[in-house]
Amino acid sequence: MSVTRRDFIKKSATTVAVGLAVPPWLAKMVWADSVTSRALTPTGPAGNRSLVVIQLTGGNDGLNTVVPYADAAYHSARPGLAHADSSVLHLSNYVGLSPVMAGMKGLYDQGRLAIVQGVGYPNPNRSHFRSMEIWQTAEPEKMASEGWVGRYLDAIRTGRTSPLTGINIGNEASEAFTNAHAAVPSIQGLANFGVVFPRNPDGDARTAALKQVQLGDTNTPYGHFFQQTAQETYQSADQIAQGIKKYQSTVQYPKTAFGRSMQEVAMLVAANLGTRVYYISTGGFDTHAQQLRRHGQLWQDVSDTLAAFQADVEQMNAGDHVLTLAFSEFGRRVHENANGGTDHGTASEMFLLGKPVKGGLYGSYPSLTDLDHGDLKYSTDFRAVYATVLDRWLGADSEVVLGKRYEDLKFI
Amino acid sequence: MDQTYIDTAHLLRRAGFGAEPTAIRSAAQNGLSATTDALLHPERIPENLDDDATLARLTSLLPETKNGGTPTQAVKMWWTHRMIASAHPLQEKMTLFWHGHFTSKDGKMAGDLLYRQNQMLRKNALGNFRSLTLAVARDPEMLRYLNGNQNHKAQPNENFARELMELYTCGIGNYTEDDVKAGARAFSGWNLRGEDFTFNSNQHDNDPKTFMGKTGNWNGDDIVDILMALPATARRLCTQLFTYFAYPNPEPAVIDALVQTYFSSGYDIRAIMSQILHSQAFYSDKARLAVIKSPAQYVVGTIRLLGMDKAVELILSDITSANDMAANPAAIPAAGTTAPLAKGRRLGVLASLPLAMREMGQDLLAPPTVKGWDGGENWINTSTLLARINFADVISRSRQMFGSSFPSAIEFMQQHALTPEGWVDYLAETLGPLPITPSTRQTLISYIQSPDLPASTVVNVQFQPVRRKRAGRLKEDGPGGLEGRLRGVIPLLMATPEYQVC
Repeated sequence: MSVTRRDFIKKSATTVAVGLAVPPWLAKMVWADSVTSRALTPTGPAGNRSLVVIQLTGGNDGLNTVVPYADAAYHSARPGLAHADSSVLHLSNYVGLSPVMAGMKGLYDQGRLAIVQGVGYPNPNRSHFRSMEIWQTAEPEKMASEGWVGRYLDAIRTGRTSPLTGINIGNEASEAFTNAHAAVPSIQGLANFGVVFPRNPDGDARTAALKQVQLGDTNTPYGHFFQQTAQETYQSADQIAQGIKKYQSTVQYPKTAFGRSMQEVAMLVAANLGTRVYYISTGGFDTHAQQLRRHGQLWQDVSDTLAAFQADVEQMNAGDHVLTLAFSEFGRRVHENANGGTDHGTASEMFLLGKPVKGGLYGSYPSLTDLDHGDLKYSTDFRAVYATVLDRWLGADSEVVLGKRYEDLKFI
Repeated sequence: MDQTYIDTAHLLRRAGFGAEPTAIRSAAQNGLSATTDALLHPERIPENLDDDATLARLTSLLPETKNGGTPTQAVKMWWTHRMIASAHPLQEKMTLFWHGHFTSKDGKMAGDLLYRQNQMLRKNALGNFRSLTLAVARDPEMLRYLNGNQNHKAQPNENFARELMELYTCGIGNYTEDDVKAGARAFSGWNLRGEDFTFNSNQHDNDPKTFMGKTGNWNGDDIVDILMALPATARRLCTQLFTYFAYPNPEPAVIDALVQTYFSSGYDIRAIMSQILHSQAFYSDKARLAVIKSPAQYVVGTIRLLGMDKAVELILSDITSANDMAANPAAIPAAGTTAPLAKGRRLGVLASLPLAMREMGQDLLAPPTVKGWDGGENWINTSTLLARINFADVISRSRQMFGSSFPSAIEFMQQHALTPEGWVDYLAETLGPLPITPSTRQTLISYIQSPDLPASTVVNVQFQPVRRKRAGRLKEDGPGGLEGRLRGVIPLLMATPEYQVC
């Protein structure tokens, strides 16, 4: 999605390096929207549990990810795209994982992976932008101004929030974090986080002067507020710099952007900074053409990376503290198109990964013949997945965060 | 420094994006009242910008979009340049205000529609609030963004009607869910044909609707009229404008007076703005430095205060000229430039400005939610504060930007016989005037005069020509890295609490 913007950001990141660059050590934040006053209290202790949310941007083709290989309708709808029965990594006598997903198959066999099938929401929207917003705000009916993660962070807030309660990895801020009070830093490249004046021969003297002018006396309006924020910035940067020194690992991640970013999440997990939610996006799932090759590359990357991440987390004995959730804004059409791809559709899968997960298949696979305008009918509302995570993992009251009670899916 | 200068600088920052000391002095000579009136009447001052041509040229230099339309990035660059260069600063500031009020957000390939919407906002920026709201209700980007295009008689889409009340006019608590439903029906059939507004009469609900207690066969225009006449709408808008331009949490009496003008002028935005900018409240102590700079203000303002707008102009005229500069290196105009820069690199300089705003939390044409940007203290957090300093650092070391204003800080100081104290004072005046504390001032002076520098004042330092090692970056040479330290005062001043407010 947003091909122009993404491409441009990539382009300018290189173009700009010699001119007026905004170096990657800090990207944008997500900031506050005022919230209507209401009582929000956590209902139980979440301890040092954290959630990693992985956004698969572009609309993942669920049918070629968790493949209904035993369904004749699948093969007839996709003469060019269907995976052969024999190549699919069987999970049941009906579905199996795409052939490239050996890593996730291993996790499934260890009982570490729960797959919720047929996930969607009423009146599906096929716009990337709007549908992603629906997933991020957990509000399909109207435009919401708060993200579901943001509402959660607000619910567990006591006093001034630590700036590291939520961390966005990468430079695309997620609306999921938008809320009243928590400012969530975006981190792109941990090594340089918080480094000021990095390329300046005079860096140390200038940084010392910087601290003095930011933290020294001032009598301007908001002066104290700026001082406090600067103080927190330096503290966060120090905490991260110190914390990630604890990270030691023998795990090899795929040498991809997603692999590197997930390793940074693992470093932050090792740093144990009290972060409750990490949010990370990886794109390219908008496979309108040449899907077989591209979708294979994408899932090879995701599957291998998740296997590495899980191994890494368990190696550092944090397996009991980390839950990973992956979703995409919609699935794709049942029938392949004329370009060897698929167009925007509706229901798809969600993945939950971790030691606390009760592995297996959840929800029912949508019928490939009982369609709505050529698209799959969802059977599980994505908000039920959020609710289960909130109630069973994050120690929050899902009704407070989501505004309504949803089915408990019991995958944790 | 005389009070008129300080007042004029305050006015030019608030009702625009600030100005260089020479421009402030010249405006101060014209007087506050005349300067304010000039700002309120853009039609009296000619504007020499060819928007369509600039946008087309920027588009041609960016990667092609899937549908061949205008990349949103080009629109962001065009608009950023406009904020820097326009002869109508208040109109530009108000366009930014309206963009945050009547939000739309870059969906896929929406560049052309966002451009049209932005021009519509600009045209109505100081016009009539009713006309503006009606234009918004017919705006193709808005119809797309808030699903007006899907609003049909049989299945009314409530999205636009809800936001019209919740965010654009009377505000939450002043309407019911039934009003939302009735409003949606009244706007049914307000759709798109291709990329233009069309009234689709066979999709319009012609049955009677009860809206805000009034029953009739209302259409969208009627709904807007009913909403305009609500005191809640008047209060909300006047409070928002006053908070944006003067100070937060205004006294009820101040708003009462503006509400009166709202009605007596027939919803005239210019009349309300005139009252705000001419008011005593606007120049009261409470108003001074009471607004936290938005990222757009921070970026655009810095460029204007430091006189780098000329550099931006040169970059734009170069990259928007049909002649490729590489073919004619002699034509490169930037001061202090010795080698031609690739067009892409110069494009990158311009592109980095909206990108910097984005890093600071204001992605133009993509507000975080339909509510727009909350502003105020919400602009500042650990990430965005660092992003401001980073921008300050990078821009002060850019040969094309800061280097065009100050090819050599050492040379500048020698010409003006400035001591380090004088240099700090000169910059603090230029960037504000900034009321930095004595201790901050001393920190900056000490930073310039760190131990590795001779104790003598800078004017006695032997001048050495600034050598350039790499294109694009200013060299940090001179004795003891003096040149770099002198320039380093800029990001340090821009990091002060005083510079975050305006």
